[in-house]
Amino acid sequence: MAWIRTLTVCALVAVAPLDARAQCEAGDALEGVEDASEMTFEAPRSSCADVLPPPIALRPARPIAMTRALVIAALVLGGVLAWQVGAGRLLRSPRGRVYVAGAGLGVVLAVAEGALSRPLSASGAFDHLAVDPIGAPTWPVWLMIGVLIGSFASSRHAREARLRWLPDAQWVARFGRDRALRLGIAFVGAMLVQIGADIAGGCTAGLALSGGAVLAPAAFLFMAGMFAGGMPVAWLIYRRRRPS
Amino acid sequence: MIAALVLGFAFGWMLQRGGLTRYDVIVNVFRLRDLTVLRFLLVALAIGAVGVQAALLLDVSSSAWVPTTRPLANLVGGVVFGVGMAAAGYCPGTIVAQAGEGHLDAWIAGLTGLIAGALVFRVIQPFVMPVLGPVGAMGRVTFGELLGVSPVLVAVIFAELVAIVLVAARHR
Repeated sequence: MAWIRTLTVCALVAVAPLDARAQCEAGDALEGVEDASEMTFEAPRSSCADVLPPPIALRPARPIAMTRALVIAALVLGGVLAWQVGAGRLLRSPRGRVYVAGAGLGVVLAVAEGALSRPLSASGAFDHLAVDPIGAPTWPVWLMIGVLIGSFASSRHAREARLRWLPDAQWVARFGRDRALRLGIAFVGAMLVQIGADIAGGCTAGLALSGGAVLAPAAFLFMAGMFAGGMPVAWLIYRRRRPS
Repeated sequence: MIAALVLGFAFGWMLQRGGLTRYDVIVNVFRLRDLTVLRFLLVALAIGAVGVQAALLLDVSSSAWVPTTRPLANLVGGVVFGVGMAAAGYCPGTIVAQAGEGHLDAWIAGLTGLIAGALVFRVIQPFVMPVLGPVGAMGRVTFGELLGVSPVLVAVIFAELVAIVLVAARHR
């Protein structure tokens, strides 16, 4: 794994000088520490002045906590470097993109539910908008505004943002280029999706993901229903066509 | 509000990044031809499950949000949801993400369809929910509570199962 190697090298390069200095100064500060010399890079215990520039007079020894903070900062920097060098490639491969995005969403879920005790609901926003479209936005409405901006930003970042009427090649192969047909099916599909979510008590986000992350039976029943409903429909839509 | 915007931004970014805004990706999971949706969902669930338990162990918050389990309603709602999802390649979150990406069909038909669906549900609610809701209703429970074991254990076992499934299905 190239990126792990890069990370390690970066971390070592970044940390080594800091560490030597920290060990020396720690050794100076805590006189009588027996094995301080073992940790330094071949520097005898009392020769800090040889390997390091002499400390400026009156300058206090650097506190250990600050050294530790610097080490952590160096590690983070090394991580960012490794990301740029190796992990970026993994991220851009189609499969890697899915896993990394899934992991990122997992973190979002953990923050929403573990820290804020709220579900990551999407369908709830439309229940609210259907009743009170101009009222103050609620939690799910703000979430959806965030999703809108986030998806726009991501698609701009990936150079995939453009205005379009039809989903993609597979849709065109099956249904043709008729915009009215797309709008009709999209409207009915969206309606069914919202009705289903309201009956179940949440959608893919608000029930399957949010409920699944706390391992509630509701989420897994919903997902089972989702496949029980979706698979026959997908089969009906594509049954007469040869596999593409 | 700020938290919701930030989390929503990250959510939208991850949906777009994972390719979940694509019609073919959503539809083909129901044809078992493209497991992207499952991979995305399972990774998110595994990390989320462990993350939620970690947050609770670290006392970040005293309790997590738990959905209400009404088995029949969850199941029937899921079926209706799946039909719509397979027909249009939509789910509520991805419609919004598609709108952000520039899909005019999501702006014109998707968002209005969702609001229409919410209005329809308000009409049918008094007839449907009293029938579906009470069957086997369990309240806000998790598997850990149902089985009487530690939720941390359930989360770790679940994450391990997900890892096994993903490794087993890595060539599909």
